Amino acid sequence: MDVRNAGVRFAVTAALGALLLGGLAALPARAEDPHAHHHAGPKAAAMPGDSLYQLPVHLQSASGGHLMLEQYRGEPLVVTMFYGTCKSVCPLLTKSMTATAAGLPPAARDKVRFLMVTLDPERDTTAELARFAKDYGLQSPRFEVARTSPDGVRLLAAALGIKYRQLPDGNFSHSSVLTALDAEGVPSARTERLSGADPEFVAAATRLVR
Amino acid sequence: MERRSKPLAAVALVAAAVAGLWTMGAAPTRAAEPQAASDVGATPQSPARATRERAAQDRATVGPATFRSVLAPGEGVKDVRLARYRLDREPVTNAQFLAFVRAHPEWRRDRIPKLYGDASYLSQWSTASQPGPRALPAQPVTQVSWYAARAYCAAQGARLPTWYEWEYAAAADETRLDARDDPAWKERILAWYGQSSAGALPTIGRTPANVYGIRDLHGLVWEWVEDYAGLMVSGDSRNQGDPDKLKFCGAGALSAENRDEYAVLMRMAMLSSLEAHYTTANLGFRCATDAR
Repeated sequence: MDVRNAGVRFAVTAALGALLLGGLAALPARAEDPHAHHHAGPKAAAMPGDSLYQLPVHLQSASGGHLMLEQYRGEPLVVTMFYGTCKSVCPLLTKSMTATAAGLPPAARDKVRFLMVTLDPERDTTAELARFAKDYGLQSPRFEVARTSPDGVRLLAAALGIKYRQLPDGNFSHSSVLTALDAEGVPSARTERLSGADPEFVAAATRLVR
Repeated sequence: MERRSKPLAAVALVAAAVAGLWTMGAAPTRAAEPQAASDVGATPQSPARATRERAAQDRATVGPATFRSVLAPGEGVKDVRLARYRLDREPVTNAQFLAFVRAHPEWRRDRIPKLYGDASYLSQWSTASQPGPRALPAQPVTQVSWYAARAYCAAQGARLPTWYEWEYAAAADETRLDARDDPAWKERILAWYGQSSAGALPTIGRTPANVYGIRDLHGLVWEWVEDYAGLMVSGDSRNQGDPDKLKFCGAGALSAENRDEYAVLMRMAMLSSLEAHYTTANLGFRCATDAR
């Protein structure tokens, strides 16, 4: 848990949010541009329009390597965001990553990669991340723990639908989401379950292996 | 959370009702005045430069400030500190966004990847390169995603404002830096919200300028903020398995003494319900910069 007692003060928020969201859902459909979503700009030209590998997210891994997010293209990837100094949820989140990996059938086990990106690049230096990876037995290259720029954090969190906010004490309040991307970087499954592996999510990740 | 729901039910009702009215009102599907469509088509000499220069001129300096937000930064921390910043005096218009799209055609609605904008992105424009009669030059641009809004601001050497920057500037009226304690002001804000339900989306600049010379923070459109994803996140991440809780239970955050600030709370609830690629008929934006 990132913050205690924080969940209950404004009871109508959920209802209000739902109402507003309901209003937003009534969006007009559009089908007039036959080429829509097929031209993603020069860099993303060959990628599906909803691929996360279009994001200009530069990663620095705990093992010291530099790579662009799109370099994961070609294999299924399970990705999440966390922060290293988090004592409560993030261990659970990390365990649900390892449990998901362990839950994959042997044939798929070496073909799905796992990536954890910190929400806190300021405090999570590569040395911190390396310690974190070691503590949890997360071994590169199958498991990568990485940091990116503040802008990279915003972009990746936005694309993964992760809600987060830094609190005055330096901790983060954040939603815990595991997302499975297919080989082209398109999100195909997500789970917010933290108690071990989510069977449906594991099955979805397994299906991504060709 | 149920424990507390009764005393606040009225808040929900009022807020939802006002939001409902406003949402209906700002839909772009209604007929707009069929005028000036060709104005938008006129190309300035250098669209990008013209836009940048105009934006720079039209930004007001705000802060530094310490203020009390409806979104308390954390448990036991009520004051928000803001460094000095500059905020656009008005929301970004269709004309300005057109100049941007011309200079950066990857943000045309027929080229933008799904990742960066949903199917309704700029759908009120007549074509991918012509806003047309339902998106007049001086109307605020809407149906834009967070990614597109950010890209626009970045092209002006700016950024989106944070929620606190937006909220603080929006607390001012014509003469006071913080008018929020004045019941008459609150009433006026809510009335403005109700008003925009009539007719087409108004053009920018019709609401009174606040003490900074900034307009339309209330009463025209919702506006993206850089940290929309940080509003009302669950304070307790153990609330797994209940996505509504995760998304909307922001709770720790909302200080009870401010719960009568419907207008601002509605805005925050709305923003927190968004995803970065969403676009809506009444969601626009303005840009900000740090003030050096």
